[in-house]
Amino acid sequence: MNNNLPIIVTMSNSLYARWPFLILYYEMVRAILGLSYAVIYGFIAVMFLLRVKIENMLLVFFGITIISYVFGQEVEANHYMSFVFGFMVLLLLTRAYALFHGDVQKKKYKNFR
Amino acid sequence: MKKDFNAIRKFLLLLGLGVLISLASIRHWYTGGTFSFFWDSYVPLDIYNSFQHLYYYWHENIFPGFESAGWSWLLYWGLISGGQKVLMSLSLAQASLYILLLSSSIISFYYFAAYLSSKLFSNGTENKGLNVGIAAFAVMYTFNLFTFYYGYFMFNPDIFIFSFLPLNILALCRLFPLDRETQPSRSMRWFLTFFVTAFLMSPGFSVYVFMGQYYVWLTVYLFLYWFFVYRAVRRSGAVQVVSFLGLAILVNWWWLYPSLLGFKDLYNAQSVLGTTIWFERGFTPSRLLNSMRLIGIPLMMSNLFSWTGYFIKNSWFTFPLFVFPALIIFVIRKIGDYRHRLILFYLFGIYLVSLFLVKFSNPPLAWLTKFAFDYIPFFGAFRDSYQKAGVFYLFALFSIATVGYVHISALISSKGNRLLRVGFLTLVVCMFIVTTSPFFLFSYDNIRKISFDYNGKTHTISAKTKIPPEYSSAKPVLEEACKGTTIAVIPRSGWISSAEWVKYGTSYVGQDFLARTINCNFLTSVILNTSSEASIEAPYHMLQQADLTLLKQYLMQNKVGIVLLRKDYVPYFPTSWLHTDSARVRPMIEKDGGFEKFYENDFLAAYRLLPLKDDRNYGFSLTSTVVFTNATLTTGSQYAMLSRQVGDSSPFVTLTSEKEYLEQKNDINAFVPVLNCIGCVTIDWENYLANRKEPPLTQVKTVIKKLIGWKSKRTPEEALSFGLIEMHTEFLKLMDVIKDTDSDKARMQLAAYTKSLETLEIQLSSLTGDFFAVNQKNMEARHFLGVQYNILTDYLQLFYRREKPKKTVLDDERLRSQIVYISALQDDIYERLSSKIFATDFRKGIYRGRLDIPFSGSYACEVRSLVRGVQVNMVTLQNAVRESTVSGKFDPMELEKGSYPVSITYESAVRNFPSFSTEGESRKAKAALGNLDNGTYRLTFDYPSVLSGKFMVVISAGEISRSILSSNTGTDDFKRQIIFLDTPVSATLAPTAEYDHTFHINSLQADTYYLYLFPLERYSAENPVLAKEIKNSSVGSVIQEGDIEFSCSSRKEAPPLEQTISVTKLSPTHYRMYLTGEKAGNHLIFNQTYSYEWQATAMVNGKEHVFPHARSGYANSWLLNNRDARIIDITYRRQRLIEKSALISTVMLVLAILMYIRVYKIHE
Repeated sequence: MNNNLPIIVTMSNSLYARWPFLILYYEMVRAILGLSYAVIYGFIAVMFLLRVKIENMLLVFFGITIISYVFGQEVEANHYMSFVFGFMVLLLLTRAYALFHGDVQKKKYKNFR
Repeated sequence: MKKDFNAIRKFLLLLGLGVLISLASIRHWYTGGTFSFFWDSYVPLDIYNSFQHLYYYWHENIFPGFESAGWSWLLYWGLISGGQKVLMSLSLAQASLYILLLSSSIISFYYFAAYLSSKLFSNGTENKGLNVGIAAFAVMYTFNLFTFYYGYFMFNPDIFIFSFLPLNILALCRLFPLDRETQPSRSMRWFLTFFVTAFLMSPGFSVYVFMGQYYVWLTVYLFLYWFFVYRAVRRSGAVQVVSFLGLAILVNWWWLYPSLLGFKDLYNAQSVLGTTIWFERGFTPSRLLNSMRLIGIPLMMSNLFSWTGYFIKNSWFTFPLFVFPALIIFVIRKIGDYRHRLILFYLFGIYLVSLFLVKFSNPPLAWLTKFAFDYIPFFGAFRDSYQKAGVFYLFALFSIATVGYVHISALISSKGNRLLRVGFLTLVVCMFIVTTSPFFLFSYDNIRKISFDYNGKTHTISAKTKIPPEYSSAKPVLEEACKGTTIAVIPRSGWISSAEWVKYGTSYVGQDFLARTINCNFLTSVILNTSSEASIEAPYHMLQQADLTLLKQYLMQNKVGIVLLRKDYVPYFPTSWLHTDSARVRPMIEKDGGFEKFYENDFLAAYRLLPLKDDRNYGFSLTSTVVFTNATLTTGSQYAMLSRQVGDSSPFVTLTSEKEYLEQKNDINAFVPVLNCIGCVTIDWENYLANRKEPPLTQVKTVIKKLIGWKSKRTPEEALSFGLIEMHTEFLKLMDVIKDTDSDKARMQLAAYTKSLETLEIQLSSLTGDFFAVNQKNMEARHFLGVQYNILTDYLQLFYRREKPKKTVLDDERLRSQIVYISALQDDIYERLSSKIFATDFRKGIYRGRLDIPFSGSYACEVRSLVRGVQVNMVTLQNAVRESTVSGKFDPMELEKGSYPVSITYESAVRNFPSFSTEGESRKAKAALGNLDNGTYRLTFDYPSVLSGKFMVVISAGEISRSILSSNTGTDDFKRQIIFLDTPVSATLAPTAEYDHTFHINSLQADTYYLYLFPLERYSAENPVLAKEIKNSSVGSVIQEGDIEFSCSSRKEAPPLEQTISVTKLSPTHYRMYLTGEKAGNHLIFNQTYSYEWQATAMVNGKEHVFPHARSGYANSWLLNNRDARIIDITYRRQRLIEKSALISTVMLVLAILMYIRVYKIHE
């Protein structure tokens, strides 16, 4: 572990910040604090702070959806599905931006084809 | 050569697979020569009849006619009718069409998915296993819950889009590939494939919202191509893209342009219910958790099968459907890694936008959808969004899911992990079984059946049906007999009708078989055309009152020459309108000398109305009688009243508006004024006014007006109305401050409100003028005061009950007494106004109204109660009591031009006083209400205030038993048994509270009704027994606006008719009339629904003379003002325009395609 890196980067690179663990953390927080917007948005904020990739956040929420569904919490599962949808839109927009940006760059330097 | 051979072999294999699977899935729908027919599926039951209805935009067979837009179905009806002609069977023709569409869908999707894989993966789909997987996804794309509910179980032409969209997009991808490495194809094969599939989708585009989405997504695609591909290759190039888009629009222009002509009328009809109402209702089943897994389809909720519970209740059964979102998520995570990913971006765009629409009013961001519904023009078209956006949503979903499947399969293969492979395949297989289950796993029950009870017997209607021979044998006889006249069908059904043919074990519910198989004009229901529907209700009102004389008069006035009794109709709620039992009518008609039976079989009996035996003028008639009435003519009873008041059997022109009155004043020779009720319409002022706040803009305006001292010139009436609004604003401000703690502010506001009250009193006392105008203003003021009094006293009650813990200004005793005094003042003014107001008082049994006499003269008046059991006692007109005969008629009276107040006292004969009993130890109370006729009833009783909110009132048809707890009881059954459900809540401080509520009974069969009281409090030995606590209970029939009819008539002698006509029908939109006689000035009536497109013209001295056209009630009339006109052509103008447009756009399309081919070098 490189001790010169900021702690947040160290944490985000850690094995324990991978998406299966994030699902576990969420379920623990959810069990302790109950279901509320503060918990969900707080959790999302923490993921952003930890520099978790949007595609992984998407996986986390999809995982939470399935877990809630399996435990018969369909209303809650539907709630998480909204976040799955939201992250899908966000992911597509970031990828589309990259595509557009890349295209503009290539045209700018006229080295395409 | 080998490549071609392989391609052909693959195509044949797919074709064979498609046909076999399709055949296996639908075979049992067609055994025994049946076909699938349910609700509003359009099946051309008779080829000639159907094409006539398709070609002509005016549909006169569903009398009294309406216009529709529908050339886009030419292909659908052509295919099915062609099939019927060749195969000699409608059953085989429909089965063939189903197989064609299903197998096309499989093949079409397979080729698109294979193309997608070849573009995204370097090794394409060379792997045979992957090919099988893609084929499995093509099968799922074709056979799934959406296609079952929205395409096949009740045939819907949108399935044409579903079947050919993948091939269309594939051709687009070939012509304009979304990657820079592939050269755009100039192949004629792909060029034609695109345009042919665009044409093949046209039947589905008759729902414009599908077409709108198609063109939006096509434009997006071409934009992406231009922006990312073409622009990169060549600087210019927009011309080709725009030309192509133009061509794509032109492909559908031949049918779209005519439809757009009728779009305004269609929109007006469709928007009757409003667009936001659908959104407000919401729809939970389309929530994301379901939509992303393909379940929760709205139609599934209203069309229950024995297996629906697996989808609605069994969460494990639908668990494998999570594979869909999992595959989508897999692809979107990897989207940056694919070779030619632009096509994926395009598909994801469709997927996410459509999904957002599909989820409808469910989160997330439902406010955005609501905003769109509220403010974006025509967005209301997405009201059934699961279907409307679903076609494109599913196309994108399955395409992306296939990519995900191919990708994961390739990954697993490369890793060589057998366990992973088996696990993944097992999940996909489970998903396949669940997705396709409505067609295969549950094929034992996938034909829609409806069971209902009528008179103690259960009847079942099935979507698997066939036309009975009785209808076929009646067809030639009726078609010959009905030429030039109209058929009234008894009992009345609607556009959607039903029948049960016990003899053959078949039945149907759907588009009226009679109107679809027999080419005659049938009196039936015209959907969403109030005036015309009201007119055809009239004869059924007469039948319900067994008034055959009036019925004959009405039939003659409206040129309805044939009565057809149906013996195969079992009253079923959604298809029954003003039911009259044909078995009861039959002896009446057979005894009457005015009818002659000319045909009968087991299901139908036809009678000719003898006075109209030789009248074959297709609803055209001449008249010199012009009637003016102030009746709104929006109900059947009003048309029946008009028919009765006019009094003879000749047709007449009906004028209803002031404009028509002024235009044709000199021609009017009969007046039929009717009483307009005052105070009948009850508005919930409480809700309307309670939270009425001035909008910010108005507040700004008020401040500016005060600052500049601006005063507008207002009449006393206007000043009073504005004064009321200002007073109410002051009152609402007062309510705000008394809920707060600032006493000084409250005193100031109290002073302001008191001042506005005093101003109101002065304005009201100085109001002079017309009796009805003053009365209206008094009523207006009373509404405001009543609401204010209720709001204030409600709050005071809460204060005294200490239900508002917060400290308020009411804690100041002086202020509290002032506020209590204000409420007393409000009550005082309210009571003073009430004593002056002339308005209906249903509680006292007084019906009051205004009678407008347009012309001084002698009037014959009559009064009738339209509610069984309600009897009119006394009528006061011109401050004098008028005596009527038993039939409700008065001696003719001389009335001057002007308005008269009329008071009618009535008594409800149906009133019972239910006595409650308690069964055993139960605390619930039950009372029998006996048999109640259809109508509105008022339930009243007194109960101790302490029981407020602690018991429930239920009125049921029949006794409530444990059977209502059965899980098999659908929501509809429950609603049918439970007539009324309420919990009495009272805010009164008195020990006894009054309960007063109305309920409505509308049933096709005689039922015994029961009133139940169910306790809603925790069990305690001290709880009162409800049966003993409820006092003074009563149930009585109540009346509403229009239930008591007071009308008069005054007639002058009409000039004699000096002309005669004979009419030839050239087409449903073109009639030719031959006129004889010298004198002009008669009116021509045409009994089809009024449309400004109907035009009467004649060639006079080489010039075209256009006759002035007017509305006559629901119908058309012309003043024949040219004595030299001998041959008059009556045409529905839009038809000619449509024919020209179709010809021009087809020629233009061919020329444009040829030019495009030449310019852009499209070749073989």
